[in-house]
Amino acid sequence: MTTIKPLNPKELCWRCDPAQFEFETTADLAELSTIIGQPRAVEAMEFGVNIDQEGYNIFAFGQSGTGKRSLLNRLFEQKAAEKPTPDDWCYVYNFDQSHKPNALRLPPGKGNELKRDMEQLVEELETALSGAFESDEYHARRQEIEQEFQEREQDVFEEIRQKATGQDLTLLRTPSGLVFAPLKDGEVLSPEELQKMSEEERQTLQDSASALQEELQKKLRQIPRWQRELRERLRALNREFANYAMGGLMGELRDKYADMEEVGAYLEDVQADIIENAGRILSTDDDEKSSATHGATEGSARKNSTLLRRYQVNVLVDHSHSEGAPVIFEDNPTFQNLIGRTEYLAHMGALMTDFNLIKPGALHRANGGYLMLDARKVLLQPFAWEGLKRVLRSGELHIESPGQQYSLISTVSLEPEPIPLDLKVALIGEPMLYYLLAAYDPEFDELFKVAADFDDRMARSDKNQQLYAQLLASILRKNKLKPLDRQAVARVLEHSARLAGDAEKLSMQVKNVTDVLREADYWAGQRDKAVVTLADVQQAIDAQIYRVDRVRERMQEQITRNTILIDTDGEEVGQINGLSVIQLGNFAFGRPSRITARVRLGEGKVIDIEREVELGGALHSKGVLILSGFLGARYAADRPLSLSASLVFEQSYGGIEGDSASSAELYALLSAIANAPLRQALAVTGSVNQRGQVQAIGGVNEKIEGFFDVCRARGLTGKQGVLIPAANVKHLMLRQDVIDAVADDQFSIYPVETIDQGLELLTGLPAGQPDEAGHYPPDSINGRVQVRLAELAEKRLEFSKAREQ
Amino acid sequence: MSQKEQTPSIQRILVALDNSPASLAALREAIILAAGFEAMVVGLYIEDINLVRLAQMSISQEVGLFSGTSRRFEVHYVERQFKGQASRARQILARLATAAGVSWTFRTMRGVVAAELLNAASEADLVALGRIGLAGPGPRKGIGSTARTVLLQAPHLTLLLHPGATLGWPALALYDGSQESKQALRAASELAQALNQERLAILLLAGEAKVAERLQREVETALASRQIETDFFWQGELVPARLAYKIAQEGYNLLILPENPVWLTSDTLLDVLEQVKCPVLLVRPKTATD
Repeated sequence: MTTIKPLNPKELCWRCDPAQFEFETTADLAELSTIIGQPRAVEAMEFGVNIDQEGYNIFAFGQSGTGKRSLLNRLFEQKAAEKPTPDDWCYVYNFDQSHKPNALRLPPGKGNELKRDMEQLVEELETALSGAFESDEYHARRQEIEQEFQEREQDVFEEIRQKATGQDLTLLRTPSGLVFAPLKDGEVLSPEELQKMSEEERQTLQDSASALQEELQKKLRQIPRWQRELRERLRALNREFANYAMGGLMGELRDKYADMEEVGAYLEDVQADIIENAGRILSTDDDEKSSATHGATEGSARKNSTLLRRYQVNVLVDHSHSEGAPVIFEDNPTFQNLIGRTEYLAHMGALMTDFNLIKPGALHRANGGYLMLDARKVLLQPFAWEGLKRVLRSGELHIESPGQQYSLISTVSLEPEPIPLDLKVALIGEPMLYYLLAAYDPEFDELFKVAADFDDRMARSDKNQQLYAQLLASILRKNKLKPLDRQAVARVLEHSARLAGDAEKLSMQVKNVTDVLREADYWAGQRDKAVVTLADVQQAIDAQIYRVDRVRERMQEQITRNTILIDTDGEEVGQINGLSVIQLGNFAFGRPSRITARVRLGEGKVIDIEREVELGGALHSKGVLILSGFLGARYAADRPLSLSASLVFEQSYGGIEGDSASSAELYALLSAIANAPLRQALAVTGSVNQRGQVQAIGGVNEKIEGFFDVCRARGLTGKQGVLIPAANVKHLMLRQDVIDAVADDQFSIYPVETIDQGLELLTGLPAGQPDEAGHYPPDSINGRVQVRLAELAEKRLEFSKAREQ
Repeated sequence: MSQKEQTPSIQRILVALDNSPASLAALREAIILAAGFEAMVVGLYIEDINLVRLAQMSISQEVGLFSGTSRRFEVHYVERQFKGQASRARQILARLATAAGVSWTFRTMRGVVAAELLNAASEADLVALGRIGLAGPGPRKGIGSTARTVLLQAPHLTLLLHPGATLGWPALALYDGSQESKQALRAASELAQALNQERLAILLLAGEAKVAERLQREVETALASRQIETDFFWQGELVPARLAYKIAQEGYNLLILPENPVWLTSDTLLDVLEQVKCPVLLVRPKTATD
């Protein structure tokens, strides 16, 4: 019989030696200039940042609090400082197709300058135009033209009037037209007087009237043409004067922007449009004049301001105060916040828009630089993920609302000219999101080719401990916290190893460590101390646990009050203390669970009661099925396994998952088969394989502490302890009170490699070695199992024969 | 007791309506005046007897002013047009007067337009009419024949408006010390009070500075009780072009002219009316029967 020695206190936890640090407090430490613990992620991101190829966007993934965003931000900021400041982007009116605003690209800072220049132009426009249009010269020229046409009409009609008078006729106005009337002595003839005329006279009169009518009709038909001609002449005059008035203003602007071809073309369009619409701008057109005099001044003003809006410049992206490329983090990545949007104004009950209402998105602001996004938020926002992919795929920003895209709204809308895109997008998220997207989105691999995988732990080498101390110093400075002395730093490193769940690692979940530093700073402040000490750090850790361990306390209480049945002394057949971990938010704790096994004659099935009632997960079932494999192979290789066994987690009302209890279940099962009692002072954790080897599990610290707390509450006897997989020894970072109990021989932790070792510890019987035929010694625990199974097989055979007879 | 509380000098305002832009402008301003004076507006539509006569002749053809097409000009057609025009004029009057809270009445008469209008004007304190009625072919300058006749013959007050013109302040009144100009000054001051105005510009017509000073004192005395401030200008004689320039330069919205056979002959009056673009109120002395 082999003897497994319990672990000594030094093996139960790594203790950081403060003497290794040369500083007094972290204030003595220099700022950490490198990024530690993430060599793979750093290399990936540096590659991603530097490579200038399509689709090489970055997906940074890792556990929360591993510093993905700050690292990305740092790298992007470094790179952005080396890059040139990107151009400004503006939207301006498209004079050919008003619903398709033109995008103007200008050197950084010039966008706002052009906007101001155009505002000033509009301000001066009315003065300049009214100066021109109110000048004596303009009035004289206009009057000249109008007079010319008036005279042309007057001459024509005067001629007709005179002809009519010469033929004893006059021209009368009726409500809707004109009529020739016979005259006598300047008075219109009465019908009676007409009747007195001879037939010949009447006919002459009628012929004259008819001839004059024909001539009048011809002249009247000329009037619309003359009026068109008049309007055209007046328009030409307006153009001429507007051109004079605008020439100076526009000339200055054209000179100023001479080296910007696109702006020059835009200014040409503006000038042509102003000249064409000078009358409307000043409301000098006849129809508008008329509406103004009829009390429609407000409408006219609105019309005027609507007209002038077209000369405004909508600066979408302004880099007048930027240095280098932009680095943007969009915290609320809705579709519109990413792609931009077109806003609407309610006007006369309808929704109206123009290019001035185009608003930029994060992609506009980050164009030419870097954009960081939270992957989860992007995926949660309707249309945002698809919109982002479309933009990255096409390489240009096309503002289109989802409502417009899916024809959900039908109102006047815009199709702004797309803006070419040149930026690097970095998504930040959990590993699961990365793997899901990689598996299910065929475009993902093409658009996010750089995966930056953030580790949540790093090796606890001496060098890394020194660097970690520097990291702490940097965090303290950044958060304006009090410095830590050496002992406090050592305790934080120990806590970091505990967070990593591994004595040989340090946690890279900086967020959790930062929380401890902040809280230690608070407790030090409560004691009016300028430097944070070990006691402050310990208080911060203890207080953190205390704030969230109400449920753990309640469960412990239920065990100590025997509401939940857990034996911590004595011996029982087919009963063992298994250990499980419960995770509540960021807090995990262990608790013992009673596992029982019952066997009877059967057909070789091990029933997992948890699975039968659907309380057990797949991994747990797998563990139980492994037991069948182990039993069959070891004890019944040459005969049928003729038992029916059932396994259950007693008083378990929630789900069970994982295979960490499979060794405990096997011990209980073997105990039940061999009718060999198990020591209840021990608890067991570890999974088992079909060859009887005990394998590593997670949460070993919490499990040990969970059973320790129960034992301590009932009184430590010195016989109590926990069997853990030997492979988990390196993960031990136990609480000091557990270590103290072990040091006082009040509690033991046994590293177990095989089931046989565990059986010997639990039963006090030798496991036994099989002979060449595979038979174990009958007084060994394995021998008793083998005998019992042989008996069950015999009985089953007898039953079979009896049934056949 | 304020002037307004005395019997108002304008109680009936006659507006000749033919639905032309000028006559509608006259109607709008007449209603504003009526509101100020608490007067009644009398709308008058006159069916031109000459058109009826013409329609009775078998030779008559009407040429559409816009379309240029011709059709027979018949009595039933003219009657319907008169009816329609009168109905429209009445509706406009009713709408505007009701909105302004002014009492109104509407009459339709048949006859020679100018004669009927003068006849109706004898019962009114003020006649408001457009310079030009429904325009004939081609642009017309100056004053229409009907307006011309009424201006030269209508009793007491005649208000003449361009299409689209609005009556308002500041106003300019001519004063030469004659009885006619005193009446015009009184009408101007009453108008100012009715429209809640406190300033009045006076153009003194005097050959000498001394006379002008005297005239100014007369005006100041006459207006002292009415608390109207005055701005004075002096011209030696009435030159229509100079008057029109002054009005345009100062932006006057009403010219109050006293009839004066000495310096405001019919020709001068017509010349002034042709050159001046703002509304003109011609004040003729009241006869004993007025």
